[in-house]
Amino acid sequence: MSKPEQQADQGRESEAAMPNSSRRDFLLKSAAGVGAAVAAGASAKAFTADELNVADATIPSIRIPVDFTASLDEAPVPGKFEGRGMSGAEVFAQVCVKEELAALFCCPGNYTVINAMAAAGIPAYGGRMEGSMCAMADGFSRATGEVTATSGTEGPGFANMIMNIAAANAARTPLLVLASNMMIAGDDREAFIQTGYQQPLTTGIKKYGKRLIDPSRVHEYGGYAFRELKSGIPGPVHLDFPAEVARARFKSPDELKDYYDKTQYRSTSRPCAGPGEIAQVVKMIDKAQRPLIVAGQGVFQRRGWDALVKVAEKGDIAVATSGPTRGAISDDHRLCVMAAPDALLSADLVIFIGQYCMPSPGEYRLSPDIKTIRVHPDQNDLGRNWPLDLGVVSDEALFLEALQDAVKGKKRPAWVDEIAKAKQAYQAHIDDTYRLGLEYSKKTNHLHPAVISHETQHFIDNGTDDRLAVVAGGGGWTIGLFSGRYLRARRPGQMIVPPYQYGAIGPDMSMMMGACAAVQRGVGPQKGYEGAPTICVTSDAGVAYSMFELDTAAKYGLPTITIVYNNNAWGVWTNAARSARSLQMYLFQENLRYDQMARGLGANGEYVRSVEEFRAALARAWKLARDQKVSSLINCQALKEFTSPRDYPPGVSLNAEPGVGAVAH
Amino acid sequence: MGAAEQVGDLLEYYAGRGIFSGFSRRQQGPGRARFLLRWHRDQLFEWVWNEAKQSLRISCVLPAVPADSAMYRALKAWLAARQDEALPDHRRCDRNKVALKTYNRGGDVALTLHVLDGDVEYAVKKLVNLVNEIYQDFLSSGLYFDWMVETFELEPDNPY
Repeated sequence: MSKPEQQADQGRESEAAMPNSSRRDFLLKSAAGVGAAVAAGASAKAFTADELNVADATIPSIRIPVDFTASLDEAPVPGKFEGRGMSGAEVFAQVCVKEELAALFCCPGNYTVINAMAAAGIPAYGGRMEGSMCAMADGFSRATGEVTATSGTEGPGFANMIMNIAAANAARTPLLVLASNMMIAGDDREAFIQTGYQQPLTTGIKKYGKRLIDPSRVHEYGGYAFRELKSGIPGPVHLDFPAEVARARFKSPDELKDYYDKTQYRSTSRPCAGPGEIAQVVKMIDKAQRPLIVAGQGVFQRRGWDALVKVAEKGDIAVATSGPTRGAISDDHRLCVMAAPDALLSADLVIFIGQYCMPSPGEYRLSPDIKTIRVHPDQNDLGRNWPLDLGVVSDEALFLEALQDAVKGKKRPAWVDEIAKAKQAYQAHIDDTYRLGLEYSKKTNHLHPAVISHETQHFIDNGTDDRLAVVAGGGGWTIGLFSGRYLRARRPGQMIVPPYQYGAIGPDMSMMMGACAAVQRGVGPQKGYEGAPTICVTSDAGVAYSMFELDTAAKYGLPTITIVYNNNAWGVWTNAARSARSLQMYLFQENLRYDQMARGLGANGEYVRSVEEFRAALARAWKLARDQKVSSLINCQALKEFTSPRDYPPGVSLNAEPGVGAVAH
Repeated sequence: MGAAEQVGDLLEYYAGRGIFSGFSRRQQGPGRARFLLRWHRDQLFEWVWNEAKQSLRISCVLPAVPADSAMYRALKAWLAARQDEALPDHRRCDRNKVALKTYNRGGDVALTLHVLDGDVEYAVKKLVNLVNEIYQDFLSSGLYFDWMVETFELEPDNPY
């Protein structure tokens, strides 16, 4: 079959698979929206008759280029010293392959490096905006604990990544940030375009950074990067590649400094608590009546979840998790207090394990009388923010494994009973809010955030093939605060928390696409769930930052379902409610059709206003995602007033920390 | 050790554990001791121990709560629930040991614990935990989010 025939054939398949995804359909259905704009008195004259006539023309369907598929199917061609030699970029790519870099998410730019990495066989995803691709890399890592990379072009592309590098830094994500950086020979000359010194821009939002200068040290700095990414507390590492380094050619290993294996340039040795320290911990646990473990990101990163559950069960110790990833212990476990905020206030001993982002007393819902143990891999963080009764320097998994053997088997029936009652009380509370939300939804014919959140989890539990397979997460102000209360994690990595610590509005959808890429490949804790769709609950404010990546999801067959709480405004509009001339800055056009935009990007779009419509849309979206790897966006029309306790009590409130809706620590 | 000194030492113990971000003792005549401590939402709380009355009083545990407001009624109900026999010992204000009273002066809610059995340590610890729970639990309702932002002049995106 010739190439044009192939393209035509693929186009037909695409149309059959996605009957609503043609641009022609999109424009036809847009007519109603345009008409509404005219009716509303908008100056729509410029896009009326002529635009509508376009629908009569023959417009090809949206389709994935044959070249895209062919390129993905090509076998890796890693660089080699023979012949032309290896470029600096190929040497660096070789380091990434040997370090088993899980994925690269990028936009074109930094061509030499990203091409070398893709050619070397690293799973590479190209998208529409560097910031979103950076968030995808972060999301992939949050769902797996693996090191991922992101890349953009020197000036604008790199600058576009900044918000999401900062978000990754706040979440302690092991993220490799790559960018090209013109030529050293052009320094200070503003030669042509895009000149910019990158390293100062990531000051304060990275663990380590370096502009590579000496081509012969490219391997050495690859080692530097992975030593930082895989040792101690994770965080973003930023390398920028001037052309002299990326394009340098090497015909022999002896032209490269420190050209030796990862077993020599970094160590996998980990700090471990001594027997005396373990004995002290055991003694304090034994003395406590209501002990609590807060298992932070370190427990997930170090995959200490099995030992965590064993320790908890052996001593009837309550467990909450914290950090950007949820599920190290199932929310359903009898000892899990993620959905039992009242029990937190009763704990008399807290053991923070791998809590990288440490709260201060008062930020966690704990008693002022609580005794504190903190277990952390770095001595220099012990005692920061939260005074300790005992500090232990240890790798999280090693500590839990040691404790698993040492902790005394003990039953604490009163504590277990109190946890159960606190769970029941919290469930009753959010069930009441859901019922109230249903009333509001019926009364207004707009969807309340409690309804969207409850129904989403209900669908995961009852409408999917395997409730454990579905990775969920989301953000937004009003909807983020509500969905946090209703969504549940029942296995490691089943939920990620996009706004964790940094509180960025916008990367949610992209992060969940990154998580989806991890699920499709069954990386790390996602093994066994390959192919399952992911669900993102986000806001109309947030979706604007990531929506174009529906194109990326379509290309790579990432089956994502994005639920958009569309309240026509930034959720924080209440801050302007009593300030003259201010509210206008917080408002969007009403009734925007994100669903139609999604269709225009090759995804399925759904528009819903009632709970019945929402349930049906979720079921359709699920079927499309599971069976055809087609993404969906469900536009849930809401009212901004649902945020306000004056209009629709109780309005929004912050969630207990630690807990199911925690985002700060 | 006198009771006033005991109260001061207990509060200083909490300050030393990072519960309060600031603490000072202000003697206020025989039988009365005054303590200032900076705590939740960066508020300065004044605690007064009255030896004769055997009482610990916080002159303003919450500001700007009108006496005729639904919020004040809800707070009083919430405080009454803290004394419920159904609560476990570690969470309950035992009516046999302390008597809990609230006053409202121009919107400033004062909280007083009367020590009934001479156990000053119990009273201090209960009052510290009670205030903590007012801020962690009672104010966690969405009904009071805007009130908190306005009253404590908090940054809405980071209301701590």
